[in-house]
Amino acid sequence: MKAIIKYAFPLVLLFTGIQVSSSAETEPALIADKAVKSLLLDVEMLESGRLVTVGERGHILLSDDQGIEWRQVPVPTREQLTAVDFLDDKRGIAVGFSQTILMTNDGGESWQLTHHEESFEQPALFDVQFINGDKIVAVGSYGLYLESSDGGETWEAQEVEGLADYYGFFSHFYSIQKVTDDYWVMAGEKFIDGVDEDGFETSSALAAETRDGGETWQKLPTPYDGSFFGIEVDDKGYLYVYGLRGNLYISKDAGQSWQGQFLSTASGFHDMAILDENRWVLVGTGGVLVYKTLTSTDIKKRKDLKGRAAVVAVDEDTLVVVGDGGVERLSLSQQ
Amino acid sequence: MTKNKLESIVSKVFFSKRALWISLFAVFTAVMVYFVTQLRVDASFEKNIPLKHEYMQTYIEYQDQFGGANRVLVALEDTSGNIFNASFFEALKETTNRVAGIAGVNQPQVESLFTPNTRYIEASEQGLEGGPVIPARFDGSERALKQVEENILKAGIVGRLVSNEFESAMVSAQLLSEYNPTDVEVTGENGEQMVQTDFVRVAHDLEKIRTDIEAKYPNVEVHIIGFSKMIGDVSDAAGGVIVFFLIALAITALLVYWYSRSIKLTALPILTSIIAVVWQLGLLTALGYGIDPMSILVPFLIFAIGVSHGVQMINGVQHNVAHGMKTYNAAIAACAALIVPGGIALLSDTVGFLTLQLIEIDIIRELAVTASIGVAVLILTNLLLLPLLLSYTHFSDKFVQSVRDREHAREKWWKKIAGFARKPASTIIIIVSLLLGIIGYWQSLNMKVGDLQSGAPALRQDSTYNLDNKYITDTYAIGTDVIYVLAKTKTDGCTYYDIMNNIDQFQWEMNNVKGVQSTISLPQVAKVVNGMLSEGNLKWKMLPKDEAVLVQSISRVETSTGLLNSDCSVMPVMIFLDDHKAETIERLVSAVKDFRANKAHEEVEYLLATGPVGVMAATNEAVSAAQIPMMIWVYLAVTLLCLISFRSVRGTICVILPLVVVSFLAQALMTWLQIGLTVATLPVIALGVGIGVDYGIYIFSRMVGFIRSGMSVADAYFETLKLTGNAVLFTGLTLAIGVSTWLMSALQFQADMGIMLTFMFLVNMLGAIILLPALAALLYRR
Repeated sequence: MKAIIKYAFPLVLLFTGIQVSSSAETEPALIADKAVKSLLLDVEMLESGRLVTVGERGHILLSDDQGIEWRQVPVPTREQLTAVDFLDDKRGIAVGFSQTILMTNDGGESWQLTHHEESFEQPALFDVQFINGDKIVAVGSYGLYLESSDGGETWEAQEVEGLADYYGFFSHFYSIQKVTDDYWVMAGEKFIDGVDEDGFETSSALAAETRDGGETWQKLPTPYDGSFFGIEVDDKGYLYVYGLRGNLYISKDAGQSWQGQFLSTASGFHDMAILDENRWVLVGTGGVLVYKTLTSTDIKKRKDLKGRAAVVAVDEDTLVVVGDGGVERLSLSQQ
Repeated sequence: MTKNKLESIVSKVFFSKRALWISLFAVFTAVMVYFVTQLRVDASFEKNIPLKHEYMQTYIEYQDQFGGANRVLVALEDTSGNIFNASFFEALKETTNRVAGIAGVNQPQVESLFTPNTRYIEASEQGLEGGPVIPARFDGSERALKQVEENILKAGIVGRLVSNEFESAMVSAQLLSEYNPTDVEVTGENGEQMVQTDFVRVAHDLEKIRTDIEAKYPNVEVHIIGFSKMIGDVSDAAGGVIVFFLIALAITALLVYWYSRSIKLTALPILTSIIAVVWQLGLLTALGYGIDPMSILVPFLIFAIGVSHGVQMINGVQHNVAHGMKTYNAAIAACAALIVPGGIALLSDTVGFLTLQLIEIDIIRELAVTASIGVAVLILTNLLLLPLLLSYTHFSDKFVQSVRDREHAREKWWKKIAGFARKPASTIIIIVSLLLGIIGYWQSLNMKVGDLQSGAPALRQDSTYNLDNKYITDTYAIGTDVIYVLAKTKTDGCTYYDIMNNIDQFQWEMNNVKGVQSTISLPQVAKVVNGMLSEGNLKWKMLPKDEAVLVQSISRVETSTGLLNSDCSVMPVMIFLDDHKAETIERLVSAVKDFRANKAHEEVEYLLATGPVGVMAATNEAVSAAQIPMMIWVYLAVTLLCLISFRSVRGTICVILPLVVVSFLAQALMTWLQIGLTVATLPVIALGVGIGVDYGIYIFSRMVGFIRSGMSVADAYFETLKLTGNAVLFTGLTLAIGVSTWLMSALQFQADMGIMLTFMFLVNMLGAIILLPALAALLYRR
């Protein structure tokens, strides 16, 4: 902690040339009535049924009644939080900008800051995944990749060589999913994969896998030259990657080949919830919500077009969605 | 000075040369009539606000940059419930052009779907794409309309330029307080080319647009709000007061006739009072003032005061004639008897009005000037001209006898009333008054400051303006209840993360204050742009700490958004409120001050405030700060005048205490009737006290003589009533009638002022007749 502050302060001073009296990292989040309507970026359901959502200004809110009532809990930072994951009903982790990492041991009631680093090169963490009780992986901007092997106490940054682009640089890692203890997949921003005969750079959406618990990562071939924002795995091991401008691809062979799904929307997709074998939901920019069943595809947008960032199904029929307009509770049958 | 000495002076100086004096009055009146024909209605926004208030300094400094509070909103409603048809868009285009063409409108800040500053942006693989919401090649076809509908959604202007349900679209414009009428660029000190914007004319231009558009496009209904429109409507409605004036005149004339039973005695005080009004308006014009919709009521007041003093005068003359004097001598005696108490009463009215000068709101000061001139004029017209004219009258013996009979008939009433000065009645009266005073004081504590109604409080709730206001606030997300707090920092301040972050924190804290609907600020928009620049990914919707990235986000925001000035050293935070109740405003203002004191970045100053609610905040503060000093000054002034004229502390207490009780009751009345303390109602209590003291002065100045000659208080009071009781009762009635016609006004504040003044005049009269003698009985015990 001390070392981090020592490092962070001169940096801030360097760039602003002024004394920092109150900045985001030193102040706890403000408990605010409208936090429930603020920008919320991820939501997670615990086995107990508790919902935890995180977002801007260090907002973390809990709901114990499937998303009807929410209460904000104290958080020691005002950084924008982008993702949350839980190992079990008690142990959880939230990550965000300035490489903020927060841990909880009481189901989200209280949070401790275990990592924080101001970096203009790699400013943000975008996703986090518990592999097991000890091992946790967090990924973020410009190839940021942090791993902990002591349950989140200490963190080590790694460079994922296998995912560098044509010039040796990295694009943003937006999403990481564990399939088995050793087999994980990742999706991210488009990267420059080469130069064509006319000298123009060509790019490709990032999808990747590791088969050895993160020791080595390999890119998967993708049919899209834009960006992916997320990746999901279903019970059959099918991979779903989705991203900018209504792009969704499904692979039944662990990413060797992909089938593009035609969805008539130009909205980007931010999150997906697989409800069962035949039904899934995608949410994204413009407040889009795609509900796919075996026989139908239903696409609707929020009336005010506020973006939707994450979705979780709390029962057969009810979704809790978070995003630019705060939390929403939606019924699929009444969609 | 003894009475006889005064009589001889009056007689020598004025009455012996009465023809000369009357012709001088006539000549002066003719000159004044000329000036009255030059009278103009003068309404300006700045006059209504406390310009010296801290907030208004901010307002004045930045109004041209960020638009002050002086916005005009023209909403076009398609009666079919949907705007997406070619004819509606034609109407909207025409309206946009015509609004932009109104002289005094700040053209670059006009906003509608058709203005070039209305653009959309969206993220694509290539980065950001954007364009005007209505493309240049827009032809009104089905396809083009579809495209526009999509662009509207992308531009995020629903609720602002297009209503929430797409049944209406908005043209929004800012008015400049002065403008250059020629197209020639004004440079340097060449300020004399600038012309003051005439808001009444703007209002009429807007009304013309409404009529034309509604006639040309039958599917379109136009709703217009904004300060200038309101002022226009107010000043149009203010013209209606002439009707009330005539009604008041007719009723007053009937009453005076009933009182005097003589056409001559009815006509003369009314004539001199009208002359006073002519002088007042003439002098006002000669001094370079116009008349404001708010002070348009003052001539009524002057007329009513004039008639009431005139009644005192004819009462005196009648009384003297009934006691055997010739009219010439009767007029001299009445003039000499009334010139001191009448003069003091009118002087205290003037002083009461002049205390309003202490309030740093121009419109109240003008009201004070208008009223002071009027009352000062009355000293000449009704205490001098009237007895001069009366000296020419002649009464038949029959009339004199009838006066005598009536005086005699009234005596049994005066006997009863004189009982108020005897125990136990006096004790009961004092206890009841004390209780009323306490109740009044207690209730007055709940008196609210500011406007309690939504919309324009000057106008009735069912006026076109307020219905338009209701339509716009109901169908759009924006209301007119917005306050701008300006974050002022160094040059290029918006490129520093710490500064932007502080403004963002400020904006969020204000957003969470109870009564705040929403907020808009540059950091907030910078976040949206940053998200857009990152392929629309919501996780990137944040304020970049990397200032190189921050600059990219901000460079996309144009100054026409009103969110920053050209060197981004000033960034307004727009705070939309649920309503403009004083407590909502106060809560927000104190939250701003708290943040400013404890959490502001040392290089950021949060300046209060512009926007309509910023003006209200300043006005409310100025009005409530002025209230107590104003009351203290009014009371000091009338107390001093009473002390000088009676040379008696006890007498002064007898006159002043009833006024205090009535003042508290008047404030309690405001609480009960939900009338807030505003620029319009603040002067009322001062006026009420200033004029209310007249009754006490007329009664006590007579009574004190009888008491000093050794009579008991009750006997002294009886004698006083015989002399002046009738006139005092009558004075109260004429004053109350004069102002109660305002209740019919189309203007809410005139109705409010009318009810308050009617109450104060009637109850002050009762106070003087009932409580004053009771107090005298207590204080002059033997």
